[in-house]
Amino acid sequence: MNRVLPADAWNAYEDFRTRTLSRIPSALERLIYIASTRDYNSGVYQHEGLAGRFGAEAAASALEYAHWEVFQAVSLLSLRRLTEELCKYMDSSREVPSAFLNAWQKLEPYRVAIPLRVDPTIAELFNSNVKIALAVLRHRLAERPDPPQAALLPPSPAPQSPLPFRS
Amino acid sequence: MEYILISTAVAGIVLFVAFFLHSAREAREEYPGTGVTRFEPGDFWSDAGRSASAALSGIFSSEDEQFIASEAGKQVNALFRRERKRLALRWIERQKREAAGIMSRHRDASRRAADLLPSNEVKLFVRYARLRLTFEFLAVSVWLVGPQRLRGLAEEANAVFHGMQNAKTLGGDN
Repeated sequence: MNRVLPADAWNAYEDFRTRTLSRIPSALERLIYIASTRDYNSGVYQHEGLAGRFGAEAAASALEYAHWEVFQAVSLLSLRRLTEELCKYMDSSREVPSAFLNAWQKLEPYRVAIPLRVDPTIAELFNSNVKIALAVLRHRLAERPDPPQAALLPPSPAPQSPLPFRS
Repeated sequence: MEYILISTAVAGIVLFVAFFLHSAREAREEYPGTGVTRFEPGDFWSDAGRSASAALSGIFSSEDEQFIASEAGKQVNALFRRERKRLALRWIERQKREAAGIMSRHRDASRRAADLLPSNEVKLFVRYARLRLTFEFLAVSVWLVGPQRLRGLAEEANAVFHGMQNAKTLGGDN
């Protein structure tokens, strides 16, 4: 028995961790996937598969906990590791690197990956580290620009997320 | 000669009292105690303090500095230094406000307490004064040389802060 979640939420968390999160290769992708299960308006996490098996409340608690846990892990990565993670994520997005970096540096979509209840120091460290990691990738790109073929490719017609569908 | 000594002592006391009153005012203004999330024991985010301590290692890390120095150009290096300095100063300010808030709440509770132990009060006050001085020194040092060489001092300040929090916890509400 754990001390952080009620039993049903813990079971939902274990199920989510073993069946879904374990299939996502990098911590940053896991973070973005979990954040995407949160409703922007209410802040409530929703996952039909988990809710069907364990109930909506347990599923939401499990996802909130998983989000918090993964966010802590990503925020405390060294800059070297975070840059690698971001590079992998950029590759998996199949976007042209310069387009990806433009979007991430201007729109800062990573800010929506921050859990609602989190220590402000950790949240600031996360934002700052992603900002620096993006600058490192931009610097690498400037030294090795996109190949002309890739730059001429039309934009992808739909998001090509490597992440599994919600069960 | 005596006149100079007395004047110095009086000036010291005045400065000390002013310092204390300033801290108390800060605590009232910046840490009202409402709107701050209070976590129930057993909630997973209740160990946020431990995570913040881990974040401290990240902010004051020299490993990241080495990575940036080896990997990136001048612009990224400048961004890294600016960001780390900003984070470190924000953390120091937050800890100062938190410590002032603890003292403010403690003083309010002390006024109502019937079983105050003067020795505990003195210990807590000395710890608070030491903490404030350490944070002031740390802030100036971060501003001058950046946080990467100050991890030891930051960890020490953090330990004193948590010691103060624990002393408060052990002492209950008074």
